[in-house]
Amino acid sequence: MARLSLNQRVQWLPVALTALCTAALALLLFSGVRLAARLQSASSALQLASSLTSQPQLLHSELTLIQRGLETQTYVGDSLRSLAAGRTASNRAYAHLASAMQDADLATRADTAALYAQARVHWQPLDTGLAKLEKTRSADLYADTAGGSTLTSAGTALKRAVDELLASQSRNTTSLAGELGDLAALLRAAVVRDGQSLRTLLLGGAALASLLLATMLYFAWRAGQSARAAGEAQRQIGNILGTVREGLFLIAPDGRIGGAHSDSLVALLRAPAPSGQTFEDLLRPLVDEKTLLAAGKFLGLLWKDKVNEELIESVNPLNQIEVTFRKSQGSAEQRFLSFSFRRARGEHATTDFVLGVVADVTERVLLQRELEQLRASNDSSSALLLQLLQTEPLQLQSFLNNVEVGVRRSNALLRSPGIGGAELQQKLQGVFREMHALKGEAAALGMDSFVERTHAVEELLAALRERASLAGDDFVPVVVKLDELLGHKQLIGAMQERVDHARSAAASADDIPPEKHGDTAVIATRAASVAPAARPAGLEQILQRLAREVGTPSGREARLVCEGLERIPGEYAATVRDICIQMVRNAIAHGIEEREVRAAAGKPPVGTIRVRFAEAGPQEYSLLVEDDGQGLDPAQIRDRALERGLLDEQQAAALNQTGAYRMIFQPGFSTATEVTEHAGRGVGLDIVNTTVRECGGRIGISTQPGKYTRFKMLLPRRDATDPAQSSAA
Amino acid sequence: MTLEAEVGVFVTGVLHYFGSTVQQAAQCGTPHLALGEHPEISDYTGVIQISGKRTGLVAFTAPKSMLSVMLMRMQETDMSHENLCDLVGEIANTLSGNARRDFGHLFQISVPAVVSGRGGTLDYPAHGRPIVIPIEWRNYHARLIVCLQ
Repeated sequence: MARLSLNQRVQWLPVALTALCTAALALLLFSGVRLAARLQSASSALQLASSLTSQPQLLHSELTLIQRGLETQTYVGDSLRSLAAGRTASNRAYAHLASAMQDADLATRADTAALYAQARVHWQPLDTGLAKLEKTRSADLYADTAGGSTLTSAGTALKRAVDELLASQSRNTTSLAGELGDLAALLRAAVVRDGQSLRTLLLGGAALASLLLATMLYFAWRAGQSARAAGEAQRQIGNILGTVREGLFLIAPDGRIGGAHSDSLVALLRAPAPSGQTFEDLLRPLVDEKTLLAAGKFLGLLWKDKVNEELIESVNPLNQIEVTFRKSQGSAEQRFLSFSFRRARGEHATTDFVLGVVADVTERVLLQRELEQLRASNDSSSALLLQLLQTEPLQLQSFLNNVEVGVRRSNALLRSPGIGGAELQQKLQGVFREMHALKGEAAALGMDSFVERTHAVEELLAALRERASLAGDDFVPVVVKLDELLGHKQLIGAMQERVDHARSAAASADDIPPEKHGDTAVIATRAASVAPAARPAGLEQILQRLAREVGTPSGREARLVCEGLERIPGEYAATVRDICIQMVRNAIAHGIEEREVRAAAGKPPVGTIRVRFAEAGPQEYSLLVEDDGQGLDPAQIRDRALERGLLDEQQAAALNQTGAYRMIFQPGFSTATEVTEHAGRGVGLDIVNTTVRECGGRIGISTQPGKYTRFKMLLPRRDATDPAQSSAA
Repeated sequence: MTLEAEVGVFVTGVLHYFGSTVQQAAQCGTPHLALGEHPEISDYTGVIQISGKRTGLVAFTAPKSMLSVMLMRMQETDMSHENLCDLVGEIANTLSGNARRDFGHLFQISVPAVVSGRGGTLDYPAHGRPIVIPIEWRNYHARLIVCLQ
């Protein structure tokens, strides 16, 4: 603030100095003008006094000439006229002298005033005498006689008057001449004095004018220097704003972007003219409403000076945002932008502007993600290896084969012709079923990496299912994920081969010295310790594991009671396994209640799921899956079908109990309120239904709300069924 | 940029070419993987090779009949082999331009090459699984093949 005041003073200084000098110069000039006028008057007075000084002597001479002329009877007319003219001139000169002395401020000075007064006193009788002479006509002075010219009475009277005047005014004339001489001397001194004053004044004025000129030149030079410095600074700022990669901009209190901003801002925000727009308008096309709202509140905090700036920055919602730019050709570009803000404080320590900086951090974010993926991949490699060692090789091989088959079946669905909306929906549901089945099996085996990947495909498909219309290219991300899933399967297959190789190497490595074992032997030793027996696990073990995997995270525990699973014929092994996986998962996710709920209902805290496979006469097998959970609630099913848009109001009203039970097999139906890895997609029972129907079988349900749910599936015996009939069914 | 976004750029590029240059929109079929064997190519194929962040190729392959009709719609009367090659090369060039614009320095993109004849082969990366995107236009079937590793 002090520096700003100094700057202001420096800016005002030349103006004040110039004004002061100008005022002083004006004063000097005014005084000079007055002095010059006085000098002019004094000079006039001096001139008049000087001319008057000789006047008495001249008049005296003229009088003498008249006297002599009268004595010799010569012509005196010229002298009389000269006397009259001299008197008139003297009177005018006295009047002018008085006026000039008045103008020159000399009339009030005692010495000059006294001398002038005395001169007038001495002039007055002379003037009176001369006035009398003027009445005489020159033609009347002489009379011609025989003896020559003689004075007439007028001539005699004139001569007497002249003689008297010469006699009476002789001393007076001398005094008058002396007084006028003294007066002239005083006036000369006054003129000299005024002249000197004027010269001094002019010198002072010249000095002041020079000072003023110098001052103006100095400040003009300073101003030039400042302008050059400002121009250079402006050029440098222009260079910075034109070169810097970040988008720099200022936000005014009304929320508008200032006129000066870096060139990069235009490219970063794809905004051709950001100046004058509000920051909110700039953000709107880039972010969702929620982020926009948060950004508005955040900027509001920045204007509150009392709020700590560092604290505000920590809640910056625009610290890293993902934005999508639509291009003219319809394609989209994803970028990551990072905004940061600082207050720009003004003279009164209040926030004048908010400085915004935006940077494109896409490369950094992608690199960071790649690093995280790499790190996760490294971490998961160990987990994968451990998983492989804990999984029985035959079971794993079977699962990997199923993955291959599932992906190929999904791919075949996608490859099949048809780009209409209904066809695309069918393809979507088909791929969904394949992925859900694979996910279920992966969860049963504890293959988390496959669960994650199949879940990711399901996420994509679920998003597509919600769309009003579908196009073929919407499936591009799905295909890419399928490719990744297949790649992961190949990676796991290759790892399994190495583990198998290591196991067999370890089995025959007893004679090899320990130092020559190498990594392979170490892996084999670990494998032996983790999975001592490569005995294939039965379906019961898979289901037990699945029950734990699904139940533990959701707080639902269930005891699995299996019966007759060892009697499943080979041709149904895979089918029954797939069905059981879905049914057991479904029973835990939707049937078995949480411990507290069960306890409150007077049930044992741990639920029970029974899975029983048996022959049902000569034509069929029966597969029964029963849980002692909450049972099916037709009203809840109806409400959920309404919510999911599977039924309209009319259909829902007409839905009876049987219809409600059928509804649970519909693709996309689920009673779960949120989507998890194990429930919520509405695919599990769809898979069961499709699988059973493909086998030519049937499904029956019996349930009692709060007590139990029992699914009974009847599967035709292959050796007893005509395949043609089966497929027709 | 993710692989799906990169594939999306090429798909959008081809569809835009039909919409703007040919002035009749094409439709995209459901993409799928070419598993086991390389996808068959049609009469004329424009290919660009990509290296850098990813390695592989992008190809647009179409039958002669389809390319001829496209030329007719573009007010061309010359249906010679050279002109058909030029057209498929131009489509590949458009894809190349899109890739340069959207991927920037992340990729190096070759000059488009044209393969004529159904028996030809493309230079796929060793372990890549090509993604095949069917392009349907006036009952003709072309394919966009993207194989990036």
